[in-house]
Amino acid sequence: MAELPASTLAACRRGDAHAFRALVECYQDRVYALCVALAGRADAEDLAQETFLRVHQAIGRFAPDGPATLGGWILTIARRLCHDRARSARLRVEVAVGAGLETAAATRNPEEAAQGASLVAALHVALAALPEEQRAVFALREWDGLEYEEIAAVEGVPVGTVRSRLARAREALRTALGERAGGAAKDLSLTTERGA
Amino acid sequence: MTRDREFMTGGPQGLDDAALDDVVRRAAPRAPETLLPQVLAAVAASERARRRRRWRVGVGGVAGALAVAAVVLLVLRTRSTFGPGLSPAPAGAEAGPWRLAAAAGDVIVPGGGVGDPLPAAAALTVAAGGSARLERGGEAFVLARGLAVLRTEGATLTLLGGTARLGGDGIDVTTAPARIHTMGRDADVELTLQGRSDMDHRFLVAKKGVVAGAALGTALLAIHVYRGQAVVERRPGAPPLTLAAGDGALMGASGPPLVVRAPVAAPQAVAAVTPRKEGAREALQAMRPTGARPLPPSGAARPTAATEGEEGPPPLNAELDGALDKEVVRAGIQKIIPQIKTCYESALEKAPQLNGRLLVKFKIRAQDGKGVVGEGEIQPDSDAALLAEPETGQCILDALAVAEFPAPEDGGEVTVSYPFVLMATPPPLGRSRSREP
Repeated sequence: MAELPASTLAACRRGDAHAFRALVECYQDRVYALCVALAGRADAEDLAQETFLRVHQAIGRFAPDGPATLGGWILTIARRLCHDRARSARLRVEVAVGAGLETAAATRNPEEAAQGASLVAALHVALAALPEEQRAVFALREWDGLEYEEIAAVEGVPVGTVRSRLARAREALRTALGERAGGAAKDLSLTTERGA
Repeated sequence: MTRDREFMTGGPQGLDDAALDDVVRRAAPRAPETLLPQVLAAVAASERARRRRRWRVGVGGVAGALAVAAVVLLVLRTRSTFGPGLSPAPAGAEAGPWRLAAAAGDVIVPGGGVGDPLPAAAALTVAAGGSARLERGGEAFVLARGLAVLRTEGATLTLLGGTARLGGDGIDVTTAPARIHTMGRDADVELTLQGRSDMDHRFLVAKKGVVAGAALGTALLAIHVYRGQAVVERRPGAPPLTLAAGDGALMGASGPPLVVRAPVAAPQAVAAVTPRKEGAREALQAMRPTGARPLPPSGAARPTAATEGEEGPPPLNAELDGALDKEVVRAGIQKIIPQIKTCYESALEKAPQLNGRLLVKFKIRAQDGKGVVGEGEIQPDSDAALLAEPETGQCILDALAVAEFPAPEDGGEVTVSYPFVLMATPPPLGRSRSREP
């Protein structure tokens, strides 16, 4: 994952508005993805916005030479905000509709695209059903590209715990999607047989 | 079929890693396009709110003290002890030692009497009801009313309490809340510094209870500018505040000053600090000497005088022929913008719709180590409406005549063509006064 150039970060810390814009552009997808995983799409944009607001206020206190990367530091802020939001309001389980549909449709035939989109939606549903700590580890690893050590720092847990949480998350998603894919495949096979 | 195998290799229990990774990759959320502009807007709003909070904290700290002090001063100040304003300083007057020119009542001046030069550092005490006029070259100040103690060190005075009225250009006065510098040869600036010892403790405690405690610990400085202008320098790091003729300011030992602008406003480039509550404005009015003209209505339109292309004193868009840097000329012009606004406001009284561009050509020549404006004229390619008001042009030329510049580098003469854009603008919608962060 790309990191913000050191010179841009330095300009950010001096209050340069253009540099801060570059920072948001660099990290917005990662922050948003984490917020989707932890709070759902309905609140993700709001939480991502709040995250960058906090980043703007605290960027002067970020230590470029410290142990944390800028990305890890920003995602830590997002993680805490999402956690606080989950504590103050019961987390909604969201049924994702249409996520990834355009990408799938561009690369597959209509049947595959429909099934691919269905699996993407099913992944979001299955993800929303996981415990918060598993969702966080999953998003930080799979969508934000953090190393295990960085995830451990964000979560405040040992690396071994990160690995086990990620394994459990992947296994749960694999099972959920496999059941759906299996059913869908059978339907497709039946359709093929009827067509033949 | 390929697609069947792809989705069935995991069997009923799940997908293989490659298939799962593929779905996970395609499921990765992408930030909506609206996020970036929303973040930037939120950051901008946060910055504005932060500045407002900083202002409110400052104002809140002194607001109570100011309100109480205004009441006290209203009681104490039943009349102005000053007569008419100080006479304008004669041009080219030589600066020498300070002299006690006149004294009335109980005036204690160690080691000197009326007419005698004062030592380099002199402490003066003027008892209640007395007054002392001191002069130095073309500059003068009068001490009066209450206890006032000053030390004279060159052209720098330290006002420890009481009231002083300053006349002439370049008098530096240091007080607890700020340092004040008079500008303009006919400057006429009054300072009233109320310290702890000036307060009527019994009155405050009896009438205002706990609030009085804050006032008692606060040195309160009132500034009124009758002519010329004053530059107020506050704590290190705080931007200076320029007050023009008719302006008043009230300052505590901490926090930003409260300023009420007269129609002859200070230049916009020096941001106006104005009270947010009408009470502060009334407090300032109460502190004004008897006979002083009332403060302008808060919603009054503010005339602006700007060089072409921008509001306030902008980058010089002028033609310049000679050995003087444009920025230097611009800085000199900036100092007389308040006077030029005065000229424009006078013109607006006769022609409320008057506005336009006035091109002024003038020469700067070296004299006594300074650059002075020798001659100037309004250029015929100015807007016709302004050319039809010759008094306005003459007023601006008069203002230019007191402008100060460095001497041209080659000791010769510099010709400057300078455009002034004059226009009256209403105050911003939603708030009648501007505010300094």
